[in-house]
Order: sequence, then C-alpha cells, then structure tokens
Amino acid sequence: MASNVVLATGLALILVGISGSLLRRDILRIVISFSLIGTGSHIMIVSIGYVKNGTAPIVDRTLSVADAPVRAVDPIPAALVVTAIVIGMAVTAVMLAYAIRLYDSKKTLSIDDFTESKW
Amino acid sequence: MNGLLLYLLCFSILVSGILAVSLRNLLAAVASAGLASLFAAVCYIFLGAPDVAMTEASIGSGLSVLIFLYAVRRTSAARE
Amino acid sequence: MIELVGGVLILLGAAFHFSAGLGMLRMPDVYTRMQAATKASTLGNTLVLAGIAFFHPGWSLKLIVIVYFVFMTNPVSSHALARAAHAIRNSMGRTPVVDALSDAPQDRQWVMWRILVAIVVASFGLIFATVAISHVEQQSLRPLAESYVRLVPEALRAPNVVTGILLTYRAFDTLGEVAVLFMVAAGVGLVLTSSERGNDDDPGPGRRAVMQSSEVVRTGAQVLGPLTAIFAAYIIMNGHLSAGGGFQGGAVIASGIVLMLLASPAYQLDLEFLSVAESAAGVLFVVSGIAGLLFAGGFLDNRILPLGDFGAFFSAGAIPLLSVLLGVKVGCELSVILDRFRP
Repeated sequence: MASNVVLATGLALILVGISGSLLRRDILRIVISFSLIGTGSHIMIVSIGYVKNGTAPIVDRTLSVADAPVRAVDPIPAALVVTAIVIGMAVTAVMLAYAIRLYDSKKTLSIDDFTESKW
Repeated sequence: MNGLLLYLLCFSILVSGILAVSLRNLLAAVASAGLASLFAAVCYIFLGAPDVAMTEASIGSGLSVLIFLYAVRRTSAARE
Repeated sequence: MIELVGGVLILLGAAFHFSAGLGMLRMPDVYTRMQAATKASTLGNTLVLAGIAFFHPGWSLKLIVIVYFVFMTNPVSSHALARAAHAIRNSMGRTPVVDALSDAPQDRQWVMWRILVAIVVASFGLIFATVAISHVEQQSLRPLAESYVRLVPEALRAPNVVTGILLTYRAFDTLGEVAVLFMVAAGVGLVLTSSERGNDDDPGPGRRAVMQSSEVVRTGAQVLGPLTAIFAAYIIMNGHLSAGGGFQGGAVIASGIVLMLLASPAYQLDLEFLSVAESAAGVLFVVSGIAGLLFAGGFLDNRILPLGDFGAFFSAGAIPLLSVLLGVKVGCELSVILDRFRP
C-alpha cells in the first residue's frame, strides 16, 4: 500500500513535468520541467523495490546477516537510482549551459524566437 | 501514523511539483523544484533506501538548485 | 425619380471618399491610415458606380464588372501593403489594441496547442494509471535481489548491500557514470567558455564588478568549510559500513567547495589541481579494476585487498579505496561544473 501511493506520486510528477515542458515558452522553465520528470521517475523506480514491511538493506545491529534476505528491501533499484540522480544533475547542467549560450547569442529566452537552424 | 505521514509527504511532493511548473516568479519555481526533491528524499527514507535519500537531498535540492540560480543570474538581463 | 436615387448614391459615395481622405490625413500610424483608405474608398467606389448605373442602365454589366474588380484588388493590395509595413517593423501608434502579426502565438493556435497537450498528457496518464493500479507490493525479494542481499555480506564482507552492488557487482556502471560526468564537465566547459564571461586573469574593475559577500557568509564559510570536509570524508569512509558512499560524499565535497566560492566571489578555483586530482582518481579506479582482473576474480573485484573482519573500518577489500576514489572524482567533477556557471 505504501509503495502504491508513492508510485502514483512519482507517475503524477512525471505527468506534471511533461505538461510543463510542453506548455511553457521560457527555456529555463522547460529545464525545470525536465528536472521534475527526472525526480518523478526516480521516485517511481525506488518505490517499485519496496518489500512489505521491509527495512533498509544494511546489515547492522537491527538486521542480522541471516535475516537480511527475508526482511530487506530490494537494493538494485536503489543502486541504479543513485547513479541516475547524479547523471540527471549532469544533464541538467548541460541543458542550462546551452540555455545560457542561446541567451548570449540572441538576448532572449523564449523558444518562439529561435526559428532559424543556424546558431 | 506512518501511513498518514507518507500520504502527507506524497501530497506535498505533488503540490511542489505543480507550483514549480506554474509559478510566475522564476526563483520561486526553482525553489519549488528543490522542495519537491527534498520531500522525495524523506520519502526515500520511508521506502528503506537511505543511500538514495542522501544522494537526492544533497544533489537534487542542493547542487541542482544552485546551478539553476547561477543560470538565472547569467540570463537575468532579459527579465525585469 | 431614378436620377434622384442615382444622385443620392453618388453623393453618398463622395462622402465616403471624403472620409477616406480625412482618415489618411488624421490617423496616427500607417496601419490605421491604410485601413481608412481602403475600406472607405472601396465602399465609396461601389456607391458611386451604383449611382452611375441608375443614370445609364445600359452600362450595368460593365459597372458590375468594375465593382467586382475593385472588390478584388483594393482590399487584397492594402492587406499586402500592411504586411510589408509590419515586416519592415513600422511602429504602431500610441495605443495599439492587438498586434495579430506579432511573434506571440495567436489565440486560436494557442488554444489548439493546449488541447493537443491535454490529449497527450491524458493518454500518458491512462497508461500510468494502469501501471499504478496493477502494481502489487512485493511480499518477498525477487531471486536476483535475494542473491545480492545474501552475497554482499558473505562474499564481499560489506554490510551495506547497495554500496557492495555499486562498487563491485555493478562497478562497471559506476565507471561509466564517472565517464559521463567527465564528458559533461568537458562539454559544459566548452559551451560556456566562449560565452561572455571570459577567463581574464586580471578582472578589471568595470567588467567584473563582483560584490563582496557579507561578513556573515564569510565567517560562516570559514567555520563550515572544514566541517564540510570532515563530514564528506566521514560519509565516504562509511560507505561500506552504513548508508553513504562515494556519490554522496562527492556531492558534499562539491557543496563545500561551492560554499567557499560563494563566500569569496573573486576567488578563482585552482582548476589545474582539480583536473589533476580527478584524472588521478579516475586512473587509479581503472588500475584497481585491472588489478582485480590480475589478482582476483575479475575486473573491479574487491578481493585485491584483504577482506578483514565484518564491520571493521578497514574491511570489505577494495571497497573503501574505491569509495574514496569515487568521492574524489565526483566531487572534483561537480565543483568544476559548478565553477563554470559562475557569473
């Protein structure tokens, strides 16, 4: 039940991001929407790995080695999402760098003004 | 109690996401996106993924917001 | 009698022509002048020709043809003239009501676009709803996850399963991610260097008038900088024991460096040192991977270093070493990326 709610939240955030990226004309707002799509998909992936009444897959005082395969949460989506968050931020950085460059060349940030294909 | 907190968190994530897309002030929109990442980080703790929570908190609501603010600063002559 | 009607019509036509001329003299800008000239004179023409038809009924057909030609040419040519005037950016008068040819999307187009976007989002929403409804929470771990959760404490002697996966079993993905970060840092540097910021060594007082940051920020950075460095080292070194690892520690390192950049805005990062550090970390990462190939089970196997006691600080083979290298690399990459963005 918990993971269903979080899964729905992640998917709804992806929808919000898609609609924001299509409806906005300012490049920076479009990049914000892409960042929201990324956050939503990360939430979705981590929520899939939840096991009912599970706990974090770290073996310490509360979770013994023998108990771990029974009570731990799926570690694979967590590992993938850790990498994905860092790469998502790197991609956002590239998009913002291009936005700055476009602004420097035309002094405007509305994508309606960029109608030519050359720089 | 745990469930109620989780529902509240998910609702806050959605509200911050919608605000990030629809606010007029650009700085407020960027801050809303960072807020959504922060609430997501708390959600990750409830889902049993503390590593992901740390990464999301530091990168999503720290460095990402900072990079957006730098970008807004460098393209700011067109607004206001 | 018929001539009276004809005379009245010609008089009306003349009145409209007069208003056209008056409009051409008195209207504020070229668009309204053109509108006055076209509309009023077209109607005036029609009325005058209709009046002439009453005087000479035999010419009716010719007059109808002339009226048709006037209707076709007058409005069309003035429309073309107005578009040409707009294209060479003739200014509008003081109070323009609407600029239908401006670059903003027209209202009708905007409504169509919104409807299309709503359809797209609704169809995505339907697909997502089926995914969300049909998801069943796992009762127990899937076989692959269960084997990882069993293997990492046993074979790798690392308590943190996620770090064990990230730095041994899926360490190749981590290497790829590190390569992607390197590409992004290079790409951002390429794109942003040729922009207006420039990289002058001595910033003149006029060009880069950076504000001195406040004393609170400077003092806070002096206190927080070392604390952040210690915290980052703690997170990195505890990657294999508890929650943490290279990525998180690297992000905290980058945050600390950015804090120092914010506290002293005129500070130039030593980019050479950072690039040397990250290259060295990357090379050492690959070298330990090859050492794993030579001395242990495979590429980036962690058994090249002794496995040690479970839960001890120096345990889990090469995982602490790889965590440190990963943390240094990610921290340097992220701080280089952030430094390029500084105004």
